[in-house]
Amino acid sequence: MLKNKQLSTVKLRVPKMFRMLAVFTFFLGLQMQAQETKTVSGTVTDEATGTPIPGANVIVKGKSIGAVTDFDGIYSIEVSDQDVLVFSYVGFKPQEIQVGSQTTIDVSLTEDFTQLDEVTITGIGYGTVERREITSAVASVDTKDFNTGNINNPAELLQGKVAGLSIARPGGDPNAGFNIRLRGLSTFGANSQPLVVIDGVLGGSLQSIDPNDIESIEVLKDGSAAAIYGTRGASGVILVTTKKTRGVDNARVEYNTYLAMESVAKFVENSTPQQYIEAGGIDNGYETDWLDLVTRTGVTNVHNLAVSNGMKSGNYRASVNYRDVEGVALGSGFNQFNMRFNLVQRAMNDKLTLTINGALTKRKAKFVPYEAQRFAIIADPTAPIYNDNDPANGYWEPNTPEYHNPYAITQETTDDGIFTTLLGTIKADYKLTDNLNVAGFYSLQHESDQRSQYFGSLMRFASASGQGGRATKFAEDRENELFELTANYEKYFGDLKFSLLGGYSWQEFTYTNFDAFNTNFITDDLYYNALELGLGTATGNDALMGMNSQKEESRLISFFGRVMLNWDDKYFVSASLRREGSSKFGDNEKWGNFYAVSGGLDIAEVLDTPFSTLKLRAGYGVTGNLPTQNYEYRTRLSRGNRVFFNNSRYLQGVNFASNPNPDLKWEEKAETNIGLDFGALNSRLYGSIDWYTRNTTDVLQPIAVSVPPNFFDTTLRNIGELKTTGLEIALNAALVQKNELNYTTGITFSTFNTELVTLNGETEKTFRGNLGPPGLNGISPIKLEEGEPIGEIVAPIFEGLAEDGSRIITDQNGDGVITQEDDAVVVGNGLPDFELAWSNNLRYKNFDLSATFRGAFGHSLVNINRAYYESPRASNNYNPVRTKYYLPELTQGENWNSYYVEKADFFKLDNITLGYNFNLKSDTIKEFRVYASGQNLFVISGYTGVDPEVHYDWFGDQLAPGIDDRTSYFRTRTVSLGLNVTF
Amino acid sequence: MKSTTISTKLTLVVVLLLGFNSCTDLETTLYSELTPDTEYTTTDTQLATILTAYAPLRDYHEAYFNLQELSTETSAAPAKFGPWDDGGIWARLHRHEWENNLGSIETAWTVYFGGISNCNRFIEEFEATSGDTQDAINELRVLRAQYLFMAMDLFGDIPLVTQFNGAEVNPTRTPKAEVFNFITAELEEVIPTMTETVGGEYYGRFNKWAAMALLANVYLNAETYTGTAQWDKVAQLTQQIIDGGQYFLEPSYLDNFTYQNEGSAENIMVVPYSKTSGQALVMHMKTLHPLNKATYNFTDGPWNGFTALEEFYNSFEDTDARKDMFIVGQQYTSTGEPIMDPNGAIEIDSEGNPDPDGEPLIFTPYINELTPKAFSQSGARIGKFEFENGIALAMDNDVPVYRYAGILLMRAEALWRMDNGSAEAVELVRQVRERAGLGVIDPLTEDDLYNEIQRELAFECHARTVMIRFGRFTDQWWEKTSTDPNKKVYPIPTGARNGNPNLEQNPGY
Repeated sequence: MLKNKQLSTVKLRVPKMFRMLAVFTFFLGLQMQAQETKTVSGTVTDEATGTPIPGANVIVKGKSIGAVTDFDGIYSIEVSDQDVLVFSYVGFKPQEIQVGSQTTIDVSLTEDFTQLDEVTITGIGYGTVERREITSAVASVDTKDFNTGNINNPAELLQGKVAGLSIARPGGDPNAGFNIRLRGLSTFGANSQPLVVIDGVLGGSLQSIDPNDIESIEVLKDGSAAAIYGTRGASGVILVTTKKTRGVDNARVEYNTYLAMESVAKFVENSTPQQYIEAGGIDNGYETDWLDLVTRTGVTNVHNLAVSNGMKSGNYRASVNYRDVEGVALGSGFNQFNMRFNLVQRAMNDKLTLTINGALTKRKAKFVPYEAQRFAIIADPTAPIYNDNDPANGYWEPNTPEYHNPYAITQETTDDGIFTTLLGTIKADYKLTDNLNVAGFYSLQHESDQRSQYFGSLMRFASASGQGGRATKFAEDRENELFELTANYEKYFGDLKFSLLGGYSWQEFTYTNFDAFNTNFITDDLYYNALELGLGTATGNDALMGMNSQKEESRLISFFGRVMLNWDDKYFVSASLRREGSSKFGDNEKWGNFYAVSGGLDIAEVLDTPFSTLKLRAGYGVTGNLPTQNYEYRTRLSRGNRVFFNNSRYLQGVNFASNPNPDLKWEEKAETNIGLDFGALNSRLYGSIDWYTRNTTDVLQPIAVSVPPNFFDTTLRNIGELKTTGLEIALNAALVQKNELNYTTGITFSTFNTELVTLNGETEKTFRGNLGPPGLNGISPIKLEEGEPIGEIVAPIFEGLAEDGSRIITDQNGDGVITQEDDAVVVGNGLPDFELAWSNNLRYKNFDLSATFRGAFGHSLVNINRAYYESPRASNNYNPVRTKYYLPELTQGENWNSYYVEKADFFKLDNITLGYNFNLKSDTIKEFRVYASGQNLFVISGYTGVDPEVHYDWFGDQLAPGIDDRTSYFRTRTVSLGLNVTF
Repeated sequence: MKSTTISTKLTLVVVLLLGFNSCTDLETTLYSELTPDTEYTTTDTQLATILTAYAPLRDYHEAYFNLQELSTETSAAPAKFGPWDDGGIWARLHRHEWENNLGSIETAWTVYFGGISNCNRFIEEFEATSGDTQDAINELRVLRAQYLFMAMDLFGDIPLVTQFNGAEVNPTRTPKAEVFNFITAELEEVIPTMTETVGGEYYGRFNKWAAMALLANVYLNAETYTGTAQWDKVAQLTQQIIDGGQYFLEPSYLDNFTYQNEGSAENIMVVPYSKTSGQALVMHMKTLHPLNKATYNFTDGPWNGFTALEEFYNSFEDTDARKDMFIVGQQYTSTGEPIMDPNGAIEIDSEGNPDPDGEPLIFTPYINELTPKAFSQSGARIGKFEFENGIALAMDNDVPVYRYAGILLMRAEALWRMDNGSAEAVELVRQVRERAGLGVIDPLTEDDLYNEIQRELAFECHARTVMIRFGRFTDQWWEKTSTDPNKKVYPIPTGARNGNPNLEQNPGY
């Protein structure tokens, strides 16, 4: 009997993926009879000139089938007699033609200055729709609108292009990521960055994709649009579509290159050697410009080569990209090699479409501690680089332990990163009937980070000081495996278009890391390459050697569906539901339901108005958010203290890893969005307005709990509520539309207000951020209070100087003592009142000019460098900071008061590009363009720190915006020269 | 019908999909962490568990030191032209103007109540385990009593939580007299069962004698917690320890504090710090000058923080062997070169005075001011715990919690309190003074007793408790002018009150 029992519990040991593929194969096995199709081909020409139009869209109305004309304007497409073909091209009026019995359809398009691409196919996640069918807040940006210049991160392409999407990176560190915020802050305990979906890969790595390979980017802004991504849509969704090939026999070779020079646009202003001595500094007899020593002009060169072609049965595009980027901080930068290919092949009478994507990115980065820049601001300007100015005597080091020789930091640091991303995806689309498509998708993204650091034996900075060299190796691997099945059904019932989507998604994330460090090396020559040569391991001392490894996993499983109705292009309704489960929650809380409904009405189609489009939209959607931690609901034990017991042996204790919370659940965000899309004056003026209100509840955050009974004083819980309301306006105008002169301009405007409704139910007010040691350690400048906006900067009020040069500070409660808790009042907010961007595209004959201006207004910044060092007294230990606010009579040292909070409104020229297209009457060279580009050429701002950009977080704390820390990277300015050639 | 076929097949697909268990499987694996069910391959688990419970005691010379010494007349952390200003927290700690979210107060609360939670958890785990766990449970009960005592001494009324599972989520504060009764009852009950083994596997752990020393110390301060003194209990317990004959006065005072002080016959209970694992003693960094790096060949320059107060230094007679615990005068490199400090030549304090002896690095007992411009070279440095040559950020010295000399002084005080003509009290104090090379004091006054205790136990984290017991914590000294009696207990830290709304604040905060 026992034997039988055993047998009955034997599980089929088939790898999970195989089981899923079996299901998928079954899908493919479903054979259907289809309507009879035929091939229609023809030529698309410009009516005015008679010349062929390459790249024109030919789509089958109401279906997701399309083709693009080749270089000779020729297309070919599979259709049935009942189909209607829609021909379109940017700048031309679209045309619809019933196929009927024709097999050749030639079309001449007439020029139209309509810019509102109503028939543009827009991604909305798990499918595409025509622009006019969209009922929620979705913004779309494609190549022609992207920012230009020295762009090394896809996020830069979008800066200022989407109303409500804030993208900021204070300073010009090429190795730093951008902080991307959609519609302000929707969470602070979970992920506040939008979900990135690259060609269907959820959680794709933006860093791994070369900006040159991007065709278009869609931003799903509101809850009704993002809810199809359920759990991770709460902070918005960014859909990235890479470049694809369309058309037949359209072999192209594109080569782009540019050379850029980047220089420091703004240092923190400090004192000259003379000013330093006048302020009371001791003259050491030298003149050293530390800022100049630790910076340089960075040279960047970039090459992109892409080949593509289309055949009757499929197409391909492959690209190779190389970037070599030098940062302005001496020793910082990266080079990156990237390959990407996209293969599409049709089979089984074109019913089956197989798409295979692959990408490889290898980035080798060099890092230098930001402290080199920070210390260069305050280092003694009369000190030599080396003792007695002789390298043989070693680096000069100050007496104070508060800073170190900045140049030594750049020279004694070797900090290399190798970041590799591998991506493979396969998608099979099968057309079961004319109306029904099923698809299976599998992707595997593997990211591998290797960081290797060596601090030389002469280093006196940070943990490396006095350790005889310190080498660290850190390796981290992240795997993102995704399997999805979807089915799409689309059918016309008279004037009613009905679309239905159903799907299943399985995704697993695995994380492993290993790191080790050792110290006390017999030579500096081998850097981090021979960890075993260090004597640290011989000591058994945790401070001198160590290792650490971890492995974690998480899984997400969901079932989703969406129905869309379009009645005669007048009324639109869409509804979606995603039921999603996550391994990160306890048994009773694993599954959540996320749904959305939205609708639209195009008034211009119903009533007689001067508008060509006047579509009113309204949507409501609920999305979710996950904790970043994987196992917080479980009781876990991890390394406790290690004891050298009785002088004889080591004992290893274990202890709680955290206070477990079995009730952990989804954070939820409900959002209402009301919008209006309009087009007027023959659609030469068009745009949209969106108003939204969003409520995030059950915010995931560490909450203070009582010790005892708990072991730790915080537990991750679902408490707190955030509310944001905002308004976004996007306005575009085709101001001039002549044959030789063409000028379009656009403005995006956004404003929002985020209020903390409740924090944790107990605390009404707390302070966040920290000005840092020594002297101002523990002073937190950002107030957080229930019912108040996020980001309030509070400080005691500075009234002026007394006769003896001491500060007069307002004693609000009159107790004779100035404290942050009792005497600070609100003096600014770290978040802007509104953000504005202005884009311009001008084409005159063969010249093209584009310029994007961008600004944020109403925000303030805490300038910590000034609070610490802007006083003659600072010369005791430091080179005083010396901005326009410097007070020569001040007799006191560092302090925290309102004098160090500055308005940081700014308006700047993000980028400007002037290009020229050569008319080469050549069969071999199709396009030849040269351009010159400038970024950050001017910034208008009264702020005296390095960068007035909005500082959205403070070392990851989303609730402490508005702090310009001492440890930051200088602002830069770039000019570049580039070339685009197409063969 | 065609469509029927499709829907049938689709239904089949969906059924198949759901049929595969893996398609909805959300169970994940814990790879690099343990669960309560983990099986261990070592037999040391019970021992490792007990020692884990001792981990919070390693804070003894950290936050606890700050709260027990820097707020008293023994020492302070003067702000030296920027360093150690830290927004005035050190000055306010010394001046009894501390705020409710002072880091050391927050830390002490979290660490010692965390220790209590851990003891509760381990006791429950051992109770649920079959096998011989009674000794382990008893030891953990004593350790928990030590944590409760420290917390009660610092904060007054405290939450008295003695279970882990099923404990109240937001416990209220129990009056300190009740906590006192719980601690003494626990110890009275457990002590008879404790091992009498000294040293070896019990080094740095509570044996019977250490538990009795703890109980004696709790009774010694009974009046602080309950209003009623219990001198007879102190006298009895200390006599039992003396009669046990396991501990002796070391011939040389400073031998108890060397970096190899494991062999001290005087230390009854120590916090065994280790320079090679976990949290260690960092007194050398906190007290010495950056340039003292060359004196001891440290790998790092020290931070120039804690110094003894001038008056306390001067309270030691010059012939007192214990006065060698201070580092004063010219500092030399390890090869005997006098150390020069350029800052000594340029520093001008708030009164406009220069450093008294210029560039040579000379520690003066004189401290010109507490903040913000104490001279870098001012203040006698705390050298009680011997500095080992060539070490990094961690010292190996073990810090005594209870020491035989302290037991003698406890008994002397108890006898003297009951009879201020007690000859035995005079004799006990004589023993301690003789070892320091000093003569007998007869008759003993309260001042004599007080000063002798503070000198003998200096920087062993008893100073505040002693001052309160002698009614001197609200006196004025040096830059400390506050006489606020509410400062005899620390405030319930802001973080703890955020976590537990049932915690009422102490009066005056």
